[in-house]
Amino acid sequence: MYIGHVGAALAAKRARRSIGLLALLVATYAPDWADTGLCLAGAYNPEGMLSHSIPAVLLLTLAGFTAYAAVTRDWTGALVIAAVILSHMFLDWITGYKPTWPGGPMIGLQLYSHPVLDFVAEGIVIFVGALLYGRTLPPRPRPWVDISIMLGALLALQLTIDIAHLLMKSLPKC
Amino acid sequence: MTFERDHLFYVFRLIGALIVAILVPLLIDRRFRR
Repeated sequence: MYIGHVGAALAAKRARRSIGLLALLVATYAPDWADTGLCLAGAYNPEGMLSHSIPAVLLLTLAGFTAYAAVTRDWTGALVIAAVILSHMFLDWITGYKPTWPGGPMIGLQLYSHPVLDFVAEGIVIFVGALLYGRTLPPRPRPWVDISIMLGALLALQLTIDIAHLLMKSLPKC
Repeated sequence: MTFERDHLFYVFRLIGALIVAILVPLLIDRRFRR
């Protein structure tokens, strides 16, 4: 999942308004940050065993929980951050094809190879996230305008990615 | 350590995509809460 992960971060903002959106957005892409680091370190695994498998994501979840709790002393907020990191794995099972554990099966619906279906799936997550996020905004006369701006911008980003996938089937990996 | 061009392309593409995916909602949110 690509921009759909932002939907998870926006939904989490509704669960704990005191958490900064930046922390939620960084957390929601934790396994992808790990992939970047692994590539730079020369330890990249194309299947994502060290970044997207169940044990890897659980480790990242624990790290995120510990780091957020240590900095803010907000244990509930740390649980929300942990849930956001964990959500990355479940959302990727909808659109991707990810490893479970070393020697275990690969799972996922692999919607990346069907960009229209991918856009629909990610769009649903983005839509739900934007709706929940809208409830965290200060009261205003036309709140649906703000929700529409956020929703439109995120859907446009996702559409750009899906079109790029249609045009460039195989971009080089690390 | 020497990186092949594909490695750098991947890293820049991934980091770029992550930054855009984070900055866009963040900037919109900031505007809403001003």
